[in-house]
Amino acid sequence: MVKIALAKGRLAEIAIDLLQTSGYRFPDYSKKSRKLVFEDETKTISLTFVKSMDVPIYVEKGATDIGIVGKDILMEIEPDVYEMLDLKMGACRICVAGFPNTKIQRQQLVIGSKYPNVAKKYFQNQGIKTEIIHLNGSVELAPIMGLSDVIVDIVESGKTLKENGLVVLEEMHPISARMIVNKVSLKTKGKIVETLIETLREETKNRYEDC
Amino acid sequence: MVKNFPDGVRDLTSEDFQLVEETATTIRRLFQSYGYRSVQTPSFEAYDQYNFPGAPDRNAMLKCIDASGRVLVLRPDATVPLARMVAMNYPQEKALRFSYQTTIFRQAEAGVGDLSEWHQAGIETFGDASPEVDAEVVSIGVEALLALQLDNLHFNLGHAGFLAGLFESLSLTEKQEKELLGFVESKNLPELQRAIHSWNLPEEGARALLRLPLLYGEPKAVLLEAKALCLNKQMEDAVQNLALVVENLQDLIQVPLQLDFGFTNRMHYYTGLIFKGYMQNAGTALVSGGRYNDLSTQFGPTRPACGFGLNLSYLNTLLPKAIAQIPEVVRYSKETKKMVYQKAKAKRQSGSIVITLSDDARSPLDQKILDLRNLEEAKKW
Repeated sequence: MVKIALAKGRLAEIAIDLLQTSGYRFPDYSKKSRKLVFEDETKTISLTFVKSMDVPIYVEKGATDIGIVGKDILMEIEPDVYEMLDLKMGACRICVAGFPNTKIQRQQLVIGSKYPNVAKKYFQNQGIKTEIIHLNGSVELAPIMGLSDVIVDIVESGKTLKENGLVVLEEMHPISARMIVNKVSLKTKGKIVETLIETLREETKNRYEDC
Repeated sequence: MVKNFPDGVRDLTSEDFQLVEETATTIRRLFQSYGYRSVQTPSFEAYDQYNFPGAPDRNAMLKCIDASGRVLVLRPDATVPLARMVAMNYPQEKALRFSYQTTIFRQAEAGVGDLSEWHQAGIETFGDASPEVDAEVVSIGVEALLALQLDNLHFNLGHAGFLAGLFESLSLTEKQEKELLGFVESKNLPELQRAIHSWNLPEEGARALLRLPLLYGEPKAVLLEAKALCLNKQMEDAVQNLALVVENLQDLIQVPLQLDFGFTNRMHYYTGLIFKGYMQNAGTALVSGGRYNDLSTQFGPTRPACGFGLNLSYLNTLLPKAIAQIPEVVRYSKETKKMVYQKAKAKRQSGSIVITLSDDARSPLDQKILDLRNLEEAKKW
């Protein structure tokens, strides 16, 4: 059996939908269920729901063979796994945002972010000295309340930013859901894992042909 | 109450440590049977020793300072100290085979359950660059796992020369190489595609690069495809060398063998074969090794070398608990003391474990005590 860790939330729903159109059925699954593990009818796949930040460690340690998680999380955690497939879903961008005309090039930039590692690396590469404040939510508040100069966060439509008077200052990296695979599982459960990768690759192609 | 117990270290209780010792004995006997003699390097090495291009990551090393202010590191790997030791102690010898069982110290990342101190065993052979030796080294790795009764094993071979040759033909900047290395290592096709596209790499090289992550599987097919992707002699040599190692291995091992040209030279000093041994449902590789022909030049005469390491601490978590030998616990009196002592000594010499207790002593084990306080009973024992 192949064990898959899914990031709880909207991504999990699209992922399950993707698996179901690929022919795997999960009769026990419903959005409201409190169960954390689901098996498909043929007992080929078991799904585990975990917090998105935890998906990489589950896969790296081999607690699950596969994970489906956003690129933003992978950039932050940098797990030692195979990152084999861009599932295209959940597309957005990770950006530097702040008040219009904020100068990024100055030294001692204070950044609020859920992604301290991503933020630090990005500015380090440009030789900008930063101070990073690790936040856990409502990151947009940080510049408004004077906690930080800018924020580093994922931006989908930009609506939240706009409503709070903030703008995208720099686009850092495009984000979408990725399929990650444990390095041992790919080799020791080769056939079944590869079949799954191919199935999802095909299904992704069908759905996002225009991309 | 114990506070401030450091992270990343663990006590080995007697049950744990018995398994450690048993595993160590099995492995040592195997290594010795192939002519690999055990050696030990000091717990400390000079920090400066790791200041060469391609040295292991210095950030994770545990540093200490001696009385004169010199910076030392707790043994952060086994191979570099061994290469140093061989250069210092055996400058003339042409061929050498050494094995070790030692502790490795490397600061573990917080919160991921890794250890900062673990037991590692391994072998290193110096002075022979033939594919036959490479194959034998791999086969000893296989045998080590089999000797510990592990099954569902899969071994994977790659070659550092293939990617090195490909990079050579692409003339990339150091930063670009590093980035590509990461994408190949994580089989990250989407990012690899993006990088190749944005850097405008030549078509032929880009084609080979894009195949690398998925260039793994059954040896024959993979070798055939790899051959077709070669752009220069270095790549051709790598494929040919790997083919010879595979051919030699066919007679030596029975476990499933795959090739993976996506293995990258993460330890940097590998120059040829890179290999890993996996077990189904164990999350990380159990055996990891390869050929490093240039490392010894850092310390003395150039001697080609090949070897591997096993993380014994991790291996032991996959093995069943050791079964402890049950001791005999006896109680003597003033009258029977001498006789019981003598008999206990003889029994110990023939392999038994005996604990003798005086009249009022408490047993360290929660176990039935044989009463030998009576002279008749003691005689019968």
